[in-house]
Amino acid sequence: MTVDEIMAGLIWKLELDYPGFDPQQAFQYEQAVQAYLHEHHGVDNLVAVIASVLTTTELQVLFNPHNQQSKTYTEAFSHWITLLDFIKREKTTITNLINQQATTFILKNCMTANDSANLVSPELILSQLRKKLYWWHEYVEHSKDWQYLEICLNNHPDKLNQLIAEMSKPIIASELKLLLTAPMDSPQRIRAKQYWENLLQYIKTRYNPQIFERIIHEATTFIAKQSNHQLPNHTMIREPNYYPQSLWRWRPILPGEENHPEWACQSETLPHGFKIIAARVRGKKHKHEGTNCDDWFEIARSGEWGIIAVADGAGSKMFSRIGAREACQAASRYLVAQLQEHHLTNRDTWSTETFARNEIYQFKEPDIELTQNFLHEAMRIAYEAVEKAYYDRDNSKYYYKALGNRDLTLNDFSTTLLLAIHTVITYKATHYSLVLSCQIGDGIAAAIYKNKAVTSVLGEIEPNGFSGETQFLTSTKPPLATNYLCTKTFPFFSPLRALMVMTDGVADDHFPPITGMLRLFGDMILNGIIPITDSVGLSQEEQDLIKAKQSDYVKVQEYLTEQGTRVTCMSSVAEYAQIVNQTLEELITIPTRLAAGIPAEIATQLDLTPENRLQLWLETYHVRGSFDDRTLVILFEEQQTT
Amino acid sequence: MSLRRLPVYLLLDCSSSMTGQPIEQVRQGLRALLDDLSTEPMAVETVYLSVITFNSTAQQVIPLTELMQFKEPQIQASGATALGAALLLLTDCLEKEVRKNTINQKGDWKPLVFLMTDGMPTDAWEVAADALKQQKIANLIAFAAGPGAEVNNLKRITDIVLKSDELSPGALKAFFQWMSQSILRTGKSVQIMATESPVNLPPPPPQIQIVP
Repeated sequence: MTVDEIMAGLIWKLELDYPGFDPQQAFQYEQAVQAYLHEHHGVDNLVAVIASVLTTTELQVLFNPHNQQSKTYTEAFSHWITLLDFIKREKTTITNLINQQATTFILKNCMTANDSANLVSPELILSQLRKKLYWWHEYVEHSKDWQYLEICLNNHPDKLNQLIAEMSKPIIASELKLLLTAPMDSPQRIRAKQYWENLLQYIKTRYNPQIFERIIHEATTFIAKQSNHQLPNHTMIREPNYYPQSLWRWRPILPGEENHPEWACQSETLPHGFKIIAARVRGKKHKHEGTNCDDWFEIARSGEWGIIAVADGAGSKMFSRIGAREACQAASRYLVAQLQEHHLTNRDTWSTETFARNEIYQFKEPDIELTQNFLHEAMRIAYEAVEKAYYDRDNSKYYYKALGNRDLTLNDFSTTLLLAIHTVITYKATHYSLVLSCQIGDGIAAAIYKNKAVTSVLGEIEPNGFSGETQFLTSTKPPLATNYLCTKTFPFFSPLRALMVMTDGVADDHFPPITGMLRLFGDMILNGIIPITDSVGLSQEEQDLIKAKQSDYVKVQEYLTEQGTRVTCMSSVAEYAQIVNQTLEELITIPTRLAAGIPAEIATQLDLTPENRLQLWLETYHVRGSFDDRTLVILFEEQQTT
Repeated sequence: MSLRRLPVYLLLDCSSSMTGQPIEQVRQGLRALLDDLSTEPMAVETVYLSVITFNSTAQQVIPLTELMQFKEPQIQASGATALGAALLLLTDCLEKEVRKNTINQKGDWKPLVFLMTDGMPTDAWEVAADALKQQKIANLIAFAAGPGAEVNNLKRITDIVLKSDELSPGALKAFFQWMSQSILRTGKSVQIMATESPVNLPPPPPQIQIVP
């Protein structure tokens, strides 16, 4: 298609559709376009410019409520569809531009909404937008963004402003790109400038300060990136090793039944000076999509025992979080009841013999075997609880609809489950920790020995296979047979520094566990999460060194919350080890030396409990490709005994 | 800690029957696919892409490459349809480039392979097809573009086969769009049962049907 053909066609169409259209104006318009074309050599740009003008005209008609029943409205609507159809066949750049134009228009309309009789209602905007999106994109029915908008609007009509902010963010980046890169005085640039000013004005007067902050942040990030890279027009920003921090969003969980809280943290005091702290946070992926955290944990004390349950609902199943919660709660309740009066036999000697097992992994000592049976029974009870959760919700219309009109199955509640119980045996005047763990699916339970920097992983890493492939409580066949559970049960008996139990969201970031768990433990101390009361004094020289290099191991990290981006300081033991020129093992062996490196910014967060700090840490640390929910439970000796 | 990647292989038929509009649509589709993925942070962090083209021979024109460093390949249409050679090359690449779980490293996510062809294979392909289907080393999705492609052949390679009745630019474009949706969904469902197939594919657009 030549430029002349396009122009002729468009003018003809304008004359036909708008009887009041002045051909003289069309001629001027043509002159302007020709001049523009001459300058920019491109049919694409030309079509884009023309289309954007048309878009505004059409939208004006479509958005005027007085026009609803009129012929002009019907015509505008059909024209709109024709136009979109035309655009669909053209390059994506054009669609983007049209989309920008529409959003700009909507923003402008909202600005004058209060002042004029032509009040545009949110419903009208969204219904028009929906039509537009429908024709523009076949997959809109499946678009998370769209669902998010619609459901939010139904539930919070007052949040329209926020919704518009959400929608306009990707647009802001592209407008800014034009603003900064399009030739001076080009129509694109002028429009972008106008748009930007309007937007800022609007935000200043109408938005709450947090949203304003967020948009400014968006813009600043963008400008910072721009200053180093001259971008060609209409291509994506693709830089090597580009880390998409700015692409991630925080979205509230879509309203629905049995939503999980955004995060949780808890602590429990145990006998003999031990303590459990636990936290879980919604993963970046779920924040981005506005979906639930699928992890759950329960911690409890019962008699002489500490009880830990963590579960990770299958990411591919919409209601797995319910399975995770039910499994943890049922298992924990059962263990609390059974362990209340459960005492191990008094022995003269404790040794590896005490934990000897036969060829099918049953313990030879009856009291240890009984303890193992409790764990296995807890697994079965968890399974039954998940089954019950399924039966209770089967035949519910809500779930049927949510699953896209299909019946629930047990697999929709798929979850892993990891149980660990702990007690203290005083033997030869020393505290020995006895831990038994049992596990279906991924996640890790790992113990750090008290007097050496050595990790004991209570479980087996299954080689082969790909990431993300795992077993679920509901998927073992036959379900949870004793011999199978016996192979999944692991004992630990030794003086203990810390027991760490986590879902794969944390475990995978600390792989392989044999070194990863030490690093995790080190980070817990260096971030003041596991409190170490006394720290060994460092020489002046060492103190100076650490101070000078603090910015190498203490980083200001960003994380997303409901209130927008927040920052906090976090230190990394791996970096710290390099600075003080010691191995991780050396540092862990004398954790008081490690504690001496806790930076003042962290040490002075006195208002935070250890479990709060743990939650903050889980929100904050980032590893590329890690966006799962994160749950970590740590059992440690609070008062250091020697 | 090594990065867990989502390897994505595109096997594209570039035989002479693709000449003209179809091959142009493939180029544009690929560009649109990159643009789509580049706006999704999960894809930016994890997707690695490779392109294997086949005509009279098969060649890996882009080895498995990080999304943000991916440079569009030069694609030309000519020659025959060496599907067998392409499948052998794919098996080879999967073995060499994809990391499995070991004691010391987390493996990649299970690779996704999209095979697009518009004609009958012109070489021996059966053995390679059977081997691929049996090994389950990737989630393979085949697309029969237009009437020239034999759906039953593709069924021998994988259970997931899509087809369009004509080799139109619209159908090819729709396939590329559907592909980017599929990649994003796979990246999102983090855990699956070890035995499960990729359940989360989006419904195909109107021009394309799933072959039962």
